[in-house]
Amino acid sequence: MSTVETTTRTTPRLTDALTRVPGFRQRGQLTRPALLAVVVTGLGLAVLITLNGNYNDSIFVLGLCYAITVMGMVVQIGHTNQLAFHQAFFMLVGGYTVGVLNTKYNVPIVLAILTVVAASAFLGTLIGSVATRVPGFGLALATLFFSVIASGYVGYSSYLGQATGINGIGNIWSGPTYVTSLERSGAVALALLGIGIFVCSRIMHSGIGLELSLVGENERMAASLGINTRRRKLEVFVLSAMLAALGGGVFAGTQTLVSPGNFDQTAELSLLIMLFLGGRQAIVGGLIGTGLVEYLQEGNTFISSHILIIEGVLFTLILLYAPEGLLGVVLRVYRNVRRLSRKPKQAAPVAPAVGVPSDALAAEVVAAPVASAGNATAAPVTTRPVPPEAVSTSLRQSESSAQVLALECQGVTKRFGGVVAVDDVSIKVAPLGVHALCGPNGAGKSTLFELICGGLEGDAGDMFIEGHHVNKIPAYQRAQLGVARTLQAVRLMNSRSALDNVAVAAVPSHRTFLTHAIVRSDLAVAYDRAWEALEELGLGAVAQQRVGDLTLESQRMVELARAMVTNPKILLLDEPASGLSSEQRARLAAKLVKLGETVTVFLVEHDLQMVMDIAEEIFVLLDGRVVFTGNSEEFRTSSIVRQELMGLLANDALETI
Amino acid sequence: MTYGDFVAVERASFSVRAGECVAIIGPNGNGKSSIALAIAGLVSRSGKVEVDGVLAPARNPAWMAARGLSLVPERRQLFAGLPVVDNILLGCYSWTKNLRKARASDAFSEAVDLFPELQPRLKQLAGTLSGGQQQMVALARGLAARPKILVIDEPCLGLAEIVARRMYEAFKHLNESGRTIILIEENPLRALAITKRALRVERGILDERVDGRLAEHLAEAASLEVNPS
Amino acid sequence: MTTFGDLFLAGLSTGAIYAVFALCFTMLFRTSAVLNLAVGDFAMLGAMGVDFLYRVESWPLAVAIIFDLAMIGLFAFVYDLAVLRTALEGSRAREAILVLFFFTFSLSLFIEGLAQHMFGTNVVSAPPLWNGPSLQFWGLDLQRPAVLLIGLAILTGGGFAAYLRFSLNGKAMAACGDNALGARICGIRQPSFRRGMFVAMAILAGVFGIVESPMTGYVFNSGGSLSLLGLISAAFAGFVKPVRAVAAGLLIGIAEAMLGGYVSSQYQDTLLFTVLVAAILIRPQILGNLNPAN
Repeated sequence: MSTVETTTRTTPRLTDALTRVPGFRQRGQLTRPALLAVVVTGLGLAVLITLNGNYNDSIFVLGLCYAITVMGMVVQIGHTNQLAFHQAFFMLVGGYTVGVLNTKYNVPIVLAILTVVAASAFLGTLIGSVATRVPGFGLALATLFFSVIASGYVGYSSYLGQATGINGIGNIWSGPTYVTSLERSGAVALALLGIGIFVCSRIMHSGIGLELSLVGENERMAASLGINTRRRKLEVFVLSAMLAALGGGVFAGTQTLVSPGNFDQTAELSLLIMLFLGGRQAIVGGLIGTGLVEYLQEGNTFISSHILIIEGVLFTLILLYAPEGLLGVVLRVYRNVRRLSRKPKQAAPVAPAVGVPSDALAAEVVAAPVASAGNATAAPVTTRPVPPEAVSTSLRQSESSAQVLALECQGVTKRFGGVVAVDDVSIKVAPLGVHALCGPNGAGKSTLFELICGGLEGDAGDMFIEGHHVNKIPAYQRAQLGVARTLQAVRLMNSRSALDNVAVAAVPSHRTFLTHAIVRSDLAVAYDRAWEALEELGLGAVAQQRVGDLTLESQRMVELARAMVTNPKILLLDEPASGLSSEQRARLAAKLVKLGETVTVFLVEHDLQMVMDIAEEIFVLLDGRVVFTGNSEEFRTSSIVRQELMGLLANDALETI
Repeated sequence: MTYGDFVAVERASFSVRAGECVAIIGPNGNGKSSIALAIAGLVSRSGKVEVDGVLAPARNPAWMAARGLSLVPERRQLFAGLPVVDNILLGCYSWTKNLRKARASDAFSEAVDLFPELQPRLKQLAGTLSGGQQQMVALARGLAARPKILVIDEPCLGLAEIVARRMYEAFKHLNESGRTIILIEENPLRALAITKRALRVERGILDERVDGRLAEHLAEAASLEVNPS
Repeated sequence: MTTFGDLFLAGLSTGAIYAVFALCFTMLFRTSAVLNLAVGDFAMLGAMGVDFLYRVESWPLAVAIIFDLAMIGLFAFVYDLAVLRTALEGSRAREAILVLFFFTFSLSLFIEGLAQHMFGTNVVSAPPLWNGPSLQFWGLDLQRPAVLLIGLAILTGGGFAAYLRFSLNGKAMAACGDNALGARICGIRQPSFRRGMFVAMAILAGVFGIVESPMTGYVFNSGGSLSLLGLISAAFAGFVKPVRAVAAGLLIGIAEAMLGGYVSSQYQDTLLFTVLVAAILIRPQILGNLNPAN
């Protein structure tokens, strides 16, 4: 496997985009956003030119302002699932600032807009760094009030024109008549929208875009893969703030007036309806939604006079029956039609040993009891691998004493209320090889794993990973240090392919800023590495299948691939054999031994036979305390083990009856 | 029955006679708790469940409760913010909505008296109790429902050996006083201490094992594994 | 010249409304992960509905009140059946946070639109239920509706507390929010409790709207800020502690009155919101551990 290239660039270099020869997949990431932007801008211009009557023009241009804001919301709310409602607030800030700069300080509009965008970046970062620390619901609640507060303040401020607001703002691009000014300014707005579309689309279709989806879906999982979730959340908050401010500034420069009523909580709600109506996860969806809502609000007198009722009902219906929006409904219909028309051609693929499609599971399972019944009287048939040679084991062990320990815990303790889950645990895990942690349920094994990965903070003791003292280091940085883990309950993005799931861990831009995604997609690199990792584990055939459709064994393997693709130094596996059949366990055991040659494998496992076969060192945890440390021979003969783990041993024995 | 795309229980068929005490054993993650939930009507399932010969509707815990089936779920699922006595009282909810009636009933007194250890803690919030005490409250709550059948799911998760033994005493007592007990237990040796019949679940499939010597067989096999000589 | 005492009392009476709303938010949230952001609009419907029936249609007052409240209750019931049930139960269940905000936000819009059409855009109010000049005691002015409000709030609070403590159904309702699976095992039907609470909340809001409206007057979109203030009061109680919710509501009402009297009556709400939002942002722990039931 290739070594990880650490991309530590933090500023995008334009020359990269120009000089790098795009591979096929890379081209896809660049042309799609560019194409989209160009197409939309072109269509928009056509509409602008052909529309006559200044009323229609006015509505269309107004729609453009909202569209710019909605683009940011697509990335923030649709793609990254961040529920923060500060857009109307930033539109207000943008619009009013441009208004004030232009009417009171005679700053030309274009310059005012640029200033506003820069200022909003600053203000957004300031507010965002506080706001994104507030967990989900609090963030939604707090930001909900932003537009209320702002419009309340400007609504009474005489400097800002109170209820009438500021008018007489200049156009972005003036012309001889009102209409031509509107059209010219509209053209500029359109161009700005095009840029916004390009930027947002590029971000969503990049490696960082994958990171953002995972952050939105499962933040803890994202952190454990090395993604700096706090930074990413701040970045999308600021992105949407900036686009909203731009939208507000363009509003000022095209409508030539701003008033508090334009940016209050009903405006925020309108923006949300625009986002959800069309399809919140796609740019095209956002555009459709904006157009539709604009039409509803202005285009028809009957509708606009009943607008509250209609919007209320519409939004409810969408949320109930089509939360993916109109675009989602259309796509779903399209996919169903395609699937129906294709069905007769495709036969179930003949599968290799690993990566068996779910249909085969039933057959496999029904066959098993027959096979095992036949073996009942004979001695337990083991298809398990022979444990590694005693010689090489001891050799590795003597080598390791001179090396840095892969993992060391000294007196690690964790309490939950009155219960001590992990009690003064001290263990030393030598590098490489397979090591196991055993114990009955509730003994504290998962808690210990969480402490190692950084998901939980210990109450006492020290933790060292590869010699580094990691007590204060957050989860995502530990992941970047080389800790990778899988969970007992498989946590993958079920609606995405195996390839996407593994690629999100392989994106080299974990350490970079969001802006990096605009210039360099990194997706191709991530996909290449993901392919390699999947093929090493024999999953090439199912790489592009939806993870939710795969068998449990395959899903486990995908998780393993995801853990391995980051080239970790330590691999923590939580009950990887749970739910697998004997043949599957044999395969798993072989793989783990092989992995142990390059990585330190540390697993929690209940299958004691497997543990004794492959682990060179075994720790037993009981009631949070370590009661046994030793190799499999010692484990086999230990009386403590026999006493405390009799339940587990009995289960193993059951399998042979 | 399935959870989303995941088939948790492929096929499970068994029957239990009144007054029996049966254990369902097998390693974790194989579907034992899913069977318990399905029987109690808490998750959707396909197939038939009959109680006293009457076919049960799927996904209707109230029906099950009315027929005398009470579930003591895995991880207890107590009402942590309510005091112990309220937790037990709510066990009566399935047969009465009247607080006074519930408090005065035999079922309630029997439930409260089941574990004398709980007497001083009746007003304490359930969430502040130890694991073993919570398990006692959960069992008491299950008993307050006037059950004829008690389905007990993994009662000894994370409990010390001595507490587990106390729980098993209670199960034995309840069985001897006439209740049918279906016990789901990860540790087969413990389970087989109070029951002669064990059903094994493996990877979603339960097959009947009626073997009186199962306990001895297991103990032998276990020690054989450990001492390969 | 309004004195501190006058302001305090005025704040106490509006605080009484926020307190009751906060209590309702909390109870509903505990039972099911729903926040009724349309509560202020139900209050508005109460006030404007009674005004319409009594003044315009000349119905007797008592009949008008009963009919209006019954309609409100019916509307809430139907909404729960048609929307909330679909949104929360079964295969179409939506993510909690969507349900928390957007559904009832839409409902609020809908009600405001309806009111706009049925009642026009004027400011109206229901007739005062207890006529007469303001009461004087200790040199302070206390309007009669304010007394009613405070009295009603105490009754409601006491009623809820008694329900939770002295009836098995009340305990069952508390249990719903505590552990959904445990509740189902005990045969507690959470959807019924949710429906009951939602309807009760709507009717209560209507009652308070009727009682309070002579003091301030209502227009079709008055509901918005009432809902917001009730919501934020409940937020400060983490949505799960009823007593704290009531206290928060009262305090916020008083703070609002103080800000209005001493700082600026125009900016009173704006300033109040600023302080509250800043509090949430700087110390999110005040909201407590927001884990909606389920």
